[in-house]
Amino acid sequence: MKKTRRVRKVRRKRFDNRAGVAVVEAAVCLPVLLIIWLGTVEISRTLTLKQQGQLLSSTAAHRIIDSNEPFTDIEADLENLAQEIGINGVDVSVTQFDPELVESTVTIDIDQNSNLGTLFPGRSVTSTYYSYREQE
Amino acid sequence: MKLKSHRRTGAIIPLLAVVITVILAIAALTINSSWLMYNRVNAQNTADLSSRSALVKVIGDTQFNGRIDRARDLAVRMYDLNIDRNSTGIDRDRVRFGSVEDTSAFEPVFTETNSNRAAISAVHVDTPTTAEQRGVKVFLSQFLGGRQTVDIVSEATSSTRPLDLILCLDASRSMNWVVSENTSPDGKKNFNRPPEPGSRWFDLKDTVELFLDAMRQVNPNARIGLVTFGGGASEATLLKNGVSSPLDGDLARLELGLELVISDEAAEISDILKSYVDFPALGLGTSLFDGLQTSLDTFEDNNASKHVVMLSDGSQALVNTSAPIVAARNASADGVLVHTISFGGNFGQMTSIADETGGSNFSALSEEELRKAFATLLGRFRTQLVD
Repeated sequence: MKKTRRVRKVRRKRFDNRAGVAVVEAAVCLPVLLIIWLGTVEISRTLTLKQQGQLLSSTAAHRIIDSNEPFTDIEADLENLAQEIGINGVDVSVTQFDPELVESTVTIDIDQNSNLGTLFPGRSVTSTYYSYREQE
Repeated sequence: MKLKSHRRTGAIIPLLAVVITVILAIAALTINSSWLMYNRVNAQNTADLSSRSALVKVIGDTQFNGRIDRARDLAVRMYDLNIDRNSTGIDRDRVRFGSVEDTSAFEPVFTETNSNRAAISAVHVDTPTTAEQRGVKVFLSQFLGGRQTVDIVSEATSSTRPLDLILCLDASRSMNWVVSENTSPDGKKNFNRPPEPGSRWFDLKDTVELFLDAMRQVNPNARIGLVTFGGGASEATLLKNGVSSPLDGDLARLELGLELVISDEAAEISDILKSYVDFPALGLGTSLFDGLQTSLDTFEDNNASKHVVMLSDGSQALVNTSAPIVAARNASADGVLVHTISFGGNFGQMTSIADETGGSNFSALSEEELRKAFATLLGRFRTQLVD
């Protein structure tokens, strides 16, 4: 009986001692918060890259219509522009799609633009627009 | 009094549960808004590209019958290709053809036409869709905004930059001479005979015919006027897409804004120029001032890009009018670019005129060089779309 009471007392003492509990809880929760934060940042970054890709490919498509510039000039100009505004791993491809349409595709490597390492290994965002220019 | 710390244990977990929920909601809203914005930009780009492509297609289509339908087909096809998500496609009636009154206005007024033979200078595309129709989930936006649907409306009007061009051509008697020599083609200095093949005037006529034919390809909506000058008197004729409007010599009655239909008869342009082979005989001498000033007076007060192509085989001579540079300054003040071509003669004054207005200057000593000069100018008069 006495022994049992002592055991209970020890057990109560052990559970009453809450020192360090907050640290343990934080240790559990912080990674969760960190993952949420990293995920949000990366998804936002990917969406931003998608919008930038859209901007570049639509610019290429407009230049196809508005000028007679060779495709290679447009590709080089836009890749330089992308570098100037801090987008890495950009590939601009302008090709004749059919006798009257030109396909402008911009591919951006996500890894090369991630601030937080590789969350999407080998993934890229692609944006394509078609515009009118008769094949010569 | 000592606080009992054990009563505060486990406070972080419930707090974090609330915080994480809020953070997740904010993150979802941010991502959802970005996605919605991406789709709106995509819809607007699609409308822009469809309208611009249809405009370039319709104005470059030399087969007038059915050209609106062909351009509309292109716009609809481009819409389907360019839109990221679209369950319904675009209604053909949403692609409209016509013109705008003032391309520089913030909201230009669009006037529709269904005539294949009308001068089309604008295409309007509008696509009133909703996020739901395009398969874009906007649950948080709807929840926060209390709306059942979110519109993704895109609207684009593409139009060409209007261009008014006056060909200001020297019709003085020396134009009857051979370009490389100061004699008429028969080897004599005969001022009183009409120009003959081999003369400067004939070289010019042939070159301008080719130029006008090319203009119908590169800028069929350009409004082109013709002014000839000699020793003070001038004549002006309006050409627009191959249709002429003689002026009976009364320059004050000249109106560039005449409503004319497009003609697919290239021969009409040639006929007008052939009529000038009769040589207007504008008196003795060469008045560059009169020629240029008459050209400037011919322009309407509008927002069109204004150019004069002035050709002469000599400097101002045997006339008592103002110096040509005075007219050049007037042109500069009016924002008119004067491009000059000195054809086989003294080109000092012509260079000054071009320099004063910021135009191009050419000297040609043969018909081949004359054609090269006009070909270079052609590139400056190519159809331009309003940004």
